[in-house]
Amino acid sequence: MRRRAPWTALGLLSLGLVSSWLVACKTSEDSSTNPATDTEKEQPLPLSEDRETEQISLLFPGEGDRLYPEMREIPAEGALEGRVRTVVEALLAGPTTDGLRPPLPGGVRVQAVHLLEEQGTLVLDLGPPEGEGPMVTGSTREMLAVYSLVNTVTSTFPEVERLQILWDGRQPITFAGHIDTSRPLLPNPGLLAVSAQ
Amino acid sequence: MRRVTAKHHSACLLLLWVLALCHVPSSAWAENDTAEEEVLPSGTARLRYGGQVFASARFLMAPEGPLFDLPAIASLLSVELRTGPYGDSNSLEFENGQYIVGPDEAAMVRVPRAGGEQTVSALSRRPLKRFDGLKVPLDFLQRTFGEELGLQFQWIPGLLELQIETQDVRQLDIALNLVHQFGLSTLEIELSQVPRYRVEVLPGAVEIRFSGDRLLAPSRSPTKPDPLIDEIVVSPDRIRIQLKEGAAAAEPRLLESPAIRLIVEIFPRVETGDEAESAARTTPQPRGGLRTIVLDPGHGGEESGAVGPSGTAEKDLALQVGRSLKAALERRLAVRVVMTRETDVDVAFETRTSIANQNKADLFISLHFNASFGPRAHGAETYFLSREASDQLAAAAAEAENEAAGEASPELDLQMILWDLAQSYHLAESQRFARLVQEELNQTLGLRDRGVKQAPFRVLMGANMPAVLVELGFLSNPDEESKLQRPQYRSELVDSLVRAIVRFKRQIESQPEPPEEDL
Repeated sequence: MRRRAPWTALGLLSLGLVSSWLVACKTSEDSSTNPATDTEKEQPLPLSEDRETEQISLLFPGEGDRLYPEMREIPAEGALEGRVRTVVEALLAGPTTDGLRPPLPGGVRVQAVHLLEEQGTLVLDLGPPEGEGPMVTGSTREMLAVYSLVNTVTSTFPEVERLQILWDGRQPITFAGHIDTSRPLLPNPGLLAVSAQ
Repeated sequence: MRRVTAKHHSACLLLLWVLALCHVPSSAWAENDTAEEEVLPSGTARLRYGGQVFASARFLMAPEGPLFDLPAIASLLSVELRTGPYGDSNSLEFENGQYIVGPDEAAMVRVPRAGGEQTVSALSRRPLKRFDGLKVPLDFLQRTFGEELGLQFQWIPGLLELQIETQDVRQLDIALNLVHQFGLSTLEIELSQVPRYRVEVLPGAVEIRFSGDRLLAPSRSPTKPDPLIDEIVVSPDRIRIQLKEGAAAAEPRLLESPAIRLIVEIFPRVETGDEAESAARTTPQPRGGLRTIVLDPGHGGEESGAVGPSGTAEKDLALQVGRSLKAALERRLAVRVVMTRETDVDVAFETRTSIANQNKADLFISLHFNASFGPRAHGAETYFLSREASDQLAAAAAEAENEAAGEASPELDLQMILWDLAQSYHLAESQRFARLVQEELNQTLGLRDRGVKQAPFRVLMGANMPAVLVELGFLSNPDEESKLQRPQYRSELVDSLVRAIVRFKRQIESQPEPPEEDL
């Protein structure tokens, strides 16, 4: 147990640095300066006919408070951060299937994505809609929203074991007063619709 | 049987006496009492004491077993029985202590005469109040008259006879082994037969008293001084373990295989300065009963939680249910109930669990009302902390302790291992309680069973005791919101929770070993 301490401390330090870096990136974007070249790799990759694509599942909340898959195609190549951004933006844009719901309110945007490779933790910084406060809802809706993101990203990208969600550059303790989001989260397969059958 | 501090249970004693003085027949609970005063077969039993029939006593035949007239038996055995004006509080006065019992609860309180901690223990069933006196179950007779006077009670249904005999006095061979390792002392008392004993926790000492058995001089005793134990005194009827200042003892455990042994573990208190919570966090709590319950009405202040279509706020309902549940528990059970908030105020997550830890709570219940996407979701569900979240907490705690200690410390490592074990135990108990809550809610209200689940709920993290979060219905469902606005419906929810707590209390106070369940 003692031997874990330096690694955990290193991990937390990295997370802190990444958070600061992400906030700095956001600030530089806000001030209309040209972002660092590193951020280019996390830009969404446009689909075009001459690029290879792969089919993935976006997991949306639906009937019985479960997560249901909806198939999409995303570029099979490119930097992981950019592909994650594509997937999360598609998730936030909402489903096309009747009865499924977008996990978060409209207007939430992806601000930054970064993978901490050693830990398998992906840091996803979401930006709230203008003037919006924290989410006001019950635990079921909060859980579905959070795990729609966590389950989708971890099931699509094998490199990602856990997802740390930031809210406007900060680690939120919870989104709506229930689920702990101050730490990186592992996927919750129990919420998948297939696991209920 | 479990230990309780005098402070914790002064309220319980007060409650019993107040019940005696203030009978309120118009209350909902009084109605329940009336409803439960079912007509039971009754008769007259002969009381045979030492082979001769001395008297008779009325008895009732309940499904769980016979209930005997307490005044008649106390009179036969010349034990003073003090009864409150309405018969709700009855106190048996023995040389060594006082036993208090009433018709409201399947439990009794023992108050030692020599000071020290009171004990509350469960009975096989609730006594019944009748016009001619309280009727008590056989186990009450055995654990009061039997243990204090060395008597054995046996009911012979065919003869309608309650036989009372002096217990055979057995001579027990004993040997004492004491090991001090990693800052903890373990006293092992080997016995030749399974003992009849009870534990008294006195100021700075633990006493194991043997009723009906006589201890022979130990064939082996510790020879080295122990850092946590001042002395061990063996008398024919008791073993007294005098603790050094700053030491505390866990509840002795009886092991019957491969040899018969009583194990007493003594550990140092970790309280330094205002670190009472640190002690609660790093020291595994000895297994005990249900003495203190912390109720946590979710949200509050600026944080409304879920809001229903007609404007019902989760924070308001949670507070209303919390207040009602506290009042109901204090009426029904000999427990102390603490709320994390009594008004509409913001309370940080850490403060909520800190309140539970500092009060050494035995159970933490966070009360919530749910919301989902769309209006259709309905029903109740009960959560306990996910193993993943618990493991992360254990790692964080280990890291904090290691950093605080500076260099390697086997004692701290052991403490963290023990803390981790305690957390596993708490998870298993949380799961058990969550199931009881879910069963009661489903049965009473006919709610859709959404089941017992695990999730990393922030408010459950850091609680050093069994802890659950109950979602009592969906405010996002207009029909359910409408029901939740009705006081009668909320009262039924409270009744369900009380029943679950009563069942949990009975289970943990009658089962010596924690459940082994896969989490």
